[in-house]
Amino acid sequence: MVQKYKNIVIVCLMTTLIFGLAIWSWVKDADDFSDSERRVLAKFPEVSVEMLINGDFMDDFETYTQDQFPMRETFRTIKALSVKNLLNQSDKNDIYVADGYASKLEYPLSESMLDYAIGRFSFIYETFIKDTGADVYLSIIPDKNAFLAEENGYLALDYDYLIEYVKDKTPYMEYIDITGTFELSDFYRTDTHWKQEEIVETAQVILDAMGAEAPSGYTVNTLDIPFNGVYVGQSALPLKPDTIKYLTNETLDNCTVTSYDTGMPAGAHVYDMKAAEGRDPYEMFMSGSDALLVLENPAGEEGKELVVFRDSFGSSLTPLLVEGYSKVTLVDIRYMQSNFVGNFVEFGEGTDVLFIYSTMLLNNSGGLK
Amino acid sequence: MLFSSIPFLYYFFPVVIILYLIAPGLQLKNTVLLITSLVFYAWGEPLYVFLMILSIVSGYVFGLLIEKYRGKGAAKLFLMLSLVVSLGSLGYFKYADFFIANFNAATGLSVPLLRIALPIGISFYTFQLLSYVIDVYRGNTRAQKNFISLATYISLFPQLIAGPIVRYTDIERQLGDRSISIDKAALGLRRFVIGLGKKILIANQMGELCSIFRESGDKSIAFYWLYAIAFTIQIYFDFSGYSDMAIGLGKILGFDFMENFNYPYISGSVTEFWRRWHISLGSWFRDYVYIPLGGNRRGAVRQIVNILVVWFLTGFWHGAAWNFIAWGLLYAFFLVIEKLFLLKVLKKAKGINHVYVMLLVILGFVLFNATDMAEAFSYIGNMFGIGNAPLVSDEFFYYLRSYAVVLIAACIGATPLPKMIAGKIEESKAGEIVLAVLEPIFLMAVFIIITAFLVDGSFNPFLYFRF
Repeated sequence: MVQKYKNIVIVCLMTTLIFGLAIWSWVKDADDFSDSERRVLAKFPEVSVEMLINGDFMDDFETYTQDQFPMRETFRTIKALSVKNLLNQSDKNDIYVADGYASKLEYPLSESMLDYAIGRFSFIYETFIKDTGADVYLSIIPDKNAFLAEENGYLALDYDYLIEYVKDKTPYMEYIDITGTFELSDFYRTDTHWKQEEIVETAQVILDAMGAEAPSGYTVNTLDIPFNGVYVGQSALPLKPDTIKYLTNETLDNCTVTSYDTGMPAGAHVYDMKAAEGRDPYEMFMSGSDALLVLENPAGEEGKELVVFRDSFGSSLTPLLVEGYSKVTLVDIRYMQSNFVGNFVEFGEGTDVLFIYSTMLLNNSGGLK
Repeated sequence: MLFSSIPFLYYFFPVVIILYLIAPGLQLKNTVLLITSLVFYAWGEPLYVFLMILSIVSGYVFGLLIEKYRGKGAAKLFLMLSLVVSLGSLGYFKYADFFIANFNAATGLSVPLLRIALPIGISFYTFQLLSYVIDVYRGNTRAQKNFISLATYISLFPQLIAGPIVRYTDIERQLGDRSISIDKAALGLRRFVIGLGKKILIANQMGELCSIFRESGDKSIAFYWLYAIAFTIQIYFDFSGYSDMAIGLGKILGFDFMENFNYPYISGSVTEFWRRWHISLGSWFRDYVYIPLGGNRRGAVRQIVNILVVWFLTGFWHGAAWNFIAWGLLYAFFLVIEKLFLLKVLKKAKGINHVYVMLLVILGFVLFNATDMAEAFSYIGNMFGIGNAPLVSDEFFYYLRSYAVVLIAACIGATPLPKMIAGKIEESKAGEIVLAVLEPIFLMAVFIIITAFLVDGSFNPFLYFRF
């Protein structure tokens, strides 16, 4: 009799679960966008004889059913928690959480990727900078894993080796060591990046090395928008959001920023409040990803210019470097061909050139153009 | 279409169940199964579904002709024609490029490869058709006059693309007389969910580990062994999980399919292993190749030759490549050795016999999963320190720790221990009630977790689709 009741319960529960979710899937309105994953969700695929014969419809339909499944975010979290707590796996798709910080495994060290990045730097130096009288500097930003991975039993790069490797192959640049100027708590818990309010000392070290003036102080401003960093969506784990703070002073208030991302000049911002309300609030720093930005500082020393070749870490750092310069140019060669640099940037006496990149970018440099 | 996919679980399966339940009478239910099975197959093979239909038509026609001319020479002729059509189709779609490539290698010629995509499940449904036609010829069964019934048997979606290889004689009665019930549906659902769990929570995780190993630049001897063990676990849980799902779906629809696995990794000899692994394939080769060749009835030498033939074909059935043939012949060698003397020794060597079997199985699967013979030799060599790999590496320790729970769960799950424990608990009234409460909750929880893995787009290959 117990078996009989058990069987009835199994059939009833499983039928309710399967048919309940199935019917919900069929009638549910399609969502447009996943905020947590920062991507557009698949729509019901086009139906055509060609799509049916070549199987594209079936593939697209499967993606559609995954993207539009009821309670998708909840199911993603259930998977993440199952991987972490049930299967006890160290990471989920390379994303891990340790000491309250989420990060992505950066392993193994790829010398070919480092060589590629060095090749791009050398090309820019040899083609546009050499013999112009500009002073050239290199600084490398250890990513969050440098403070988190090895201590918690995760695979970690040999950061000392990486830095020495790049240093040795770029003898034309003066290396600025910033490794001791920040620590784990200076990174956002849910994002790749460092916190601007915690890298004032880093900026000071860089400015000192370049012989540039440092600002006397900043006002700390807090953004009243919760910051769910990139790892919130990637991990699908219930992580508490971060808070973004940003630094202002009179110099920064008076700076003007121009974007040449499309080739034509367009107004931009040191702190873009519209971007702060967007999908990735970190993009508020120097308006996010931009191939070419020019920041003009009326209070800076006439003729003293800074050119920064950078990745996204540079977006929050650059505002802290502008004090003594009349013009700061930010170049992102992930979005601009290196051989076009000379069309937009002039190098000469009185120009400081800073190549500053995170280890994460250097070890995955395939996107540099 | 994969069982372990959202389209199957939340679109195809519910629709099939609704149509199946509302269809009155077995004839209409069979028609529903036939149509939905063709849709199921066409979902993955929109064009090759016509090849399968043609195969079924040929099997149907030849079956009728063989019966009509039973006892006459024409019956044998039609059997031969049927074999030529079925095996010719399998040979063309699965083995043509293998033969061309080897012909080119032997002669130095450059005959262009045909590069034909392998129709999913062709090896499985061809073997089912062969068993039907041969059984009709032998008089073990009557030819099926109802085309829908025969087509339903061949194309039945639960077992269509990865088995078990259901014999017509086993299912003939069920095609015309079966019933669905709450008890059978509950058993089927339980079996299906367990199969899904084996596939998603163990096989796919081990598959991920194998992929990590293959992409790793930090391979060590220990990592080679971890990969070999992971693949051994993956293929068992993948394939037996699929068989569980097939058997479970069959039960929900009122069918009883044969068991395909019986804890093969607890075997004490290779002979025993092959009685427990892919049972439907092993028994197919026994009944349709080994015994017709004479089996063990024509002396020791002939028996050894028969074993070699059967295991050459078993390896070749798995794939058109030398590593599959070598894998089959490796087992042939050990089966012969066991028949000659080793079986007696193994029976006395408790413990060591299991180490021997697992070592052979693990090395065999490295050979099986290699892209070619050179890779197989390289991997096996590295496992035994022949190569430049260090003993251990950071990646080995990291991934061993990361997958330790799955590895341990898999090792326990590959034995009858969980079933024995559940049986013990169920012996008492209180235990029976506790299990009766926990089992539905457990099944629901596993199904929800599996759905979560599928919604999030996990790594989800099916190994036996390529056979």
